[in-house]
Amino acid sequence: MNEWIVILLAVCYLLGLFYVAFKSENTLSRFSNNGWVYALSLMVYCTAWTFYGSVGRAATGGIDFLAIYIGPLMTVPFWWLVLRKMVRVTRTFRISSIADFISSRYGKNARLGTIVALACIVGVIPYISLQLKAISSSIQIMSTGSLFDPSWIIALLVTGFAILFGARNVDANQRKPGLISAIAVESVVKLVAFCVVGIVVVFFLFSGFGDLFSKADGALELDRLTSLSEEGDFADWFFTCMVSAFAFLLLPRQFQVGSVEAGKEEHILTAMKVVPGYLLLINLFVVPIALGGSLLLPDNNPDFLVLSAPLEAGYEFLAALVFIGGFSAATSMIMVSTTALSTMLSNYVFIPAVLKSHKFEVTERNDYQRLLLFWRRVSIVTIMVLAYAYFQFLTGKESLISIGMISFIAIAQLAPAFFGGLYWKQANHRAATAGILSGLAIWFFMLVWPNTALQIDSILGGNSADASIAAVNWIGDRMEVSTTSATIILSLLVNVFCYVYLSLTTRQSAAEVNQATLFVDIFRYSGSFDSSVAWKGTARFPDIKSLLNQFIGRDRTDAVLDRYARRHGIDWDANPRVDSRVISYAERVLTGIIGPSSARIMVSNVVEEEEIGMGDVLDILQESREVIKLNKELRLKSQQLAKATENLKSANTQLQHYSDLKNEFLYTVTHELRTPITSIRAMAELIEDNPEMEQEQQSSFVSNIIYEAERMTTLISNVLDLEKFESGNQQLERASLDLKSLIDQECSAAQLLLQDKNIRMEVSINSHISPVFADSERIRQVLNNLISNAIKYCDQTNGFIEITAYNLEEQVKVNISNNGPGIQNEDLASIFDKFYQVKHQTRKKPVGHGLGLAICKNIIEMHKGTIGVEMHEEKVRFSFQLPMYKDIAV
Amino acid sequence: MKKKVLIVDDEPNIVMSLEFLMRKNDYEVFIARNGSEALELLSGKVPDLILLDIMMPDVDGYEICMIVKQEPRLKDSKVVFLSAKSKVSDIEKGYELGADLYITKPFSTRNLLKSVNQLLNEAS
Repeated sequence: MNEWIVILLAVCYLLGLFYVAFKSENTLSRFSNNGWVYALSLMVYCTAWTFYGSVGRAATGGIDFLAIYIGPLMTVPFWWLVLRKMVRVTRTFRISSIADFISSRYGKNARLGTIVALACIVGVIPYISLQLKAISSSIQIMSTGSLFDPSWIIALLVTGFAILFGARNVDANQRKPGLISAIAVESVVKLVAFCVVGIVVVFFLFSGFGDLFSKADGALELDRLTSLSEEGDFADWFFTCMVSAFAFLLLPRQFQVGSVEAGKEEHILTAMKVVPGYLLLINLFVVPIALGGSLLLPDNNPDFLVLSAPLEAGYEFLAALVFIGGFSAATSMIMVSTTALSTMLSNYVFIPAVLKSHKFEVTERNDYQRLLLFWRRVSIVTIMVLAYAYFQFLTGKESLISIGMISFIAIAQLAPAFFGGLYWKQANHRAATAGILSGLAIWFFMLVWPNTALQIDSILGGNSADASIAAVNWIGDRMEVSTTSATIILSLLVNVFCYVYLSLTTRQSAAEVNQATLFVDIFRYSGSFDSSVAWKGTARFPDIKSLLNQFIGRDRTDAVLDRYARRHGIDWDANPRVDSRVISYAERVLTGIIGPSSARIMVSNVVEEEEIGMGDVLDILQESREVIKLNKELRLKSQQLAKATENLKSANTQLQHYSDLKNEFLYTVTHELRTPITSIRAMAELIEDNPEMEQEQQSSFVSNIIYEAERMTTLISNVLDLEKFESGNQQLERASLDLKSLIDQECSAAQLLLQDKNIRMEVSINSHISPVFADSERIRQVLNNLISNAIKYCDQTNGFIEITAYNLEEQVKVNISNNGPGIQNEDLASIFDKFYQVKHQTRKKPVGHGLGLAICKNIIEMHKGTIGVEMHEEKVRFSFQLPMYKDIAV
Repeated sequence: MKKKVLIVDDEPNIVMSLEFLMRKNDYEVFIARNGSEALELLSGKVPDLILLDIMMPDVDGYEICMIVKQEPRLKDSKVVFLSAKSKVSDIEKGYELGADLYITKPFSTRNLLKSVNQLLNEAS
């Protein structure tokens, strides 16, 4: 076939892709936002390495090529956990590359991001050049060995595509529907092409699987090709599986399509069904094609059997289809990889340098948007130039699959830091940096350097490679595995060791603690992410706005700020200062454009406070601990306060009660005073108004006036007494007191009155009665009061009073009873209250007015005695008890 | 014909004073030393005037007033409270029960006489 026809075919195919891409750029969510498109775009994993290399590998190494697909397949069940978490984090933090991801997780560490970016570039550029090599080789095979290599034309076109659809928008985090749709179409094309050629080989070149295998059985060492024979192969298999699993999720292009470009999280579920089926189909015919090709063309380059077989058989159209299939596998990989790598290259290498050289100012003049896009495109070109250069100058004779493997192992070095960061909060950036660098160092010296040295040797002459090759072989022999497996084991062991050891022994920065928590617990935080505060202090809204203007343009700035304002109910005009939430939001918007670390630096230019440092975090923690403590104390205090209030309330009630009593008392005293005064006044007036009054009548009035005056005096002195007792001002002069003699004295003093009223009195006092410890005058007062009450209230015609006294336990008891009308039970309890009889009542109680009993009660209680009244044998009996003298003395 | 006055009080000296005062002014005096005595007397006699204390051991003055005012036979009897209870509420209660006059203790015998005479003259 003429080489120009081949190139025309390739160009037409590419133009078709341009069309698909343009079409879906303009109908954004309809085509590309679909689970199937997502699943098919993930199949960018199947590159020319799959398309051509698998057959080559199968033809020489048997079915161990399958490991590259079994690894990813084993991860499928975990996608809903792991891939979804990656997607969520990527979406939440507006991450646009795996370098962003790792840098962001480890405190937005710019150096770590740069290391990851460079690792990816170094690891993947050979892989891109591998695709170029595949394209170039396939064109050469198609055009029957033309010496002219047109692959630069293809490279140019693919670069154009990547620039157009991969760096279309300044926001690298924004999805690229054109690119993704094109990739999905390419995935279909390569699958169909491969299956068609498989079917043709099996059913047209041979007559079915049986025919093919029986023929192969005779001609080839089939056992070697369809089984894992040697011991080391199992190890190779295992480690290839592992590395492939990592690669499937972490290769820049895989991360691009799997995480950055993911639409809905539910698409992962679709992918979990579609991807295994796709991988099964594309591998179904690998062995048959390899066998058939080997049988037909035993001397051909096994890597291109799939293409040379139909050519050899004269199926030109089929060969063209195969060529397009391989071409699509290669171009899709190149397009996505360059897009992904260029984002990293520009965000971690070019833009930091550009931003550093442009002294950043908050002005409307700078338009960083164009600058950013320019550098993003420069990055794409740079990547392509590097890949093309590598392809031209360094690609040697190693097979497609080995270059792929080198790439995989480089990317696998990111796995500990990546997955560790996703699930282990304690991991820190030092550990991640050390792990990645150590792993890459081993990878470089064991895998890259020997090959590179060989190339250099072949160009310059010399044998610089020999020593390193020997060393690597020696290590492999020692470990009884291939050098590839040895590299995987050693690099990952050292990597993981550094990562775990340093994470355990060194501390995280404050920013890192924050990010680590957000990453690991993303499902808990992604909803309320806006409230996570990584900035303290405020910024001026115009500064934030002009900052965004410069990177994303006026329209988008307005759009994102409007969206934020709507969601959070903020009126930008109301307050020119914005808080940390808005600053964080602006930072995240910028993260999508220039990556997390540059975004942080940019935002720090307009924020007026330092970003939060470890000390601040500790301060905040300390503060909140103090607040908790204060809260506790406050709660305690308020409980105490509530209690105090309660006490105060009851004290108040008590006071109110006392106040009422006092008022009542005053009222009663004045009431009691009114009666004698009434008599005194009335009688005095009568004497004055009736000068002719009889002498007898007059002296009766006068003596009654004197009597009433005395009554008043008594009342007043009682009131004063009571006041003294109640206020505690009354002092007792206590001494040993013989109650018997005191009672006898009082009885004889009353004798006259008793005779007058014809009252009989019996006094029976035990002769062994003990002395009491008491104030004789006060006890005399009590006795006097009780005896006069008894006289006053005993039966008026046949009065009888009985006084008894005796020792009762440690006290002396005195009873004074009379045969008066008695007291109602209900009144017994309150009879000792002052003015009991008049309280709220309109009827006088039989017991006399008075303060007498109240005073008695006070006196006895001051002596630590008791006083009471009861109905005893139909008599009213007042009794009191006083402590014996000896008790007190003791 | 002499006007009849019933003095109801448990304070002997007040009773004595009132008795002297009213006799001196040509009243026929009846004396009750407590509420039940007063009711007993009232069942037989129809006094023109009742001088009534409130605070008494058995039946209080308010009750007596109420009974008097409900008894048609006693419709012309004037009730004058003489009480040491000086709260407004006590006085209001007295008038609500139909008292013709409420005089607080201590009172002047001269004013009492004047008020009582006036009250009885108005009636006749």
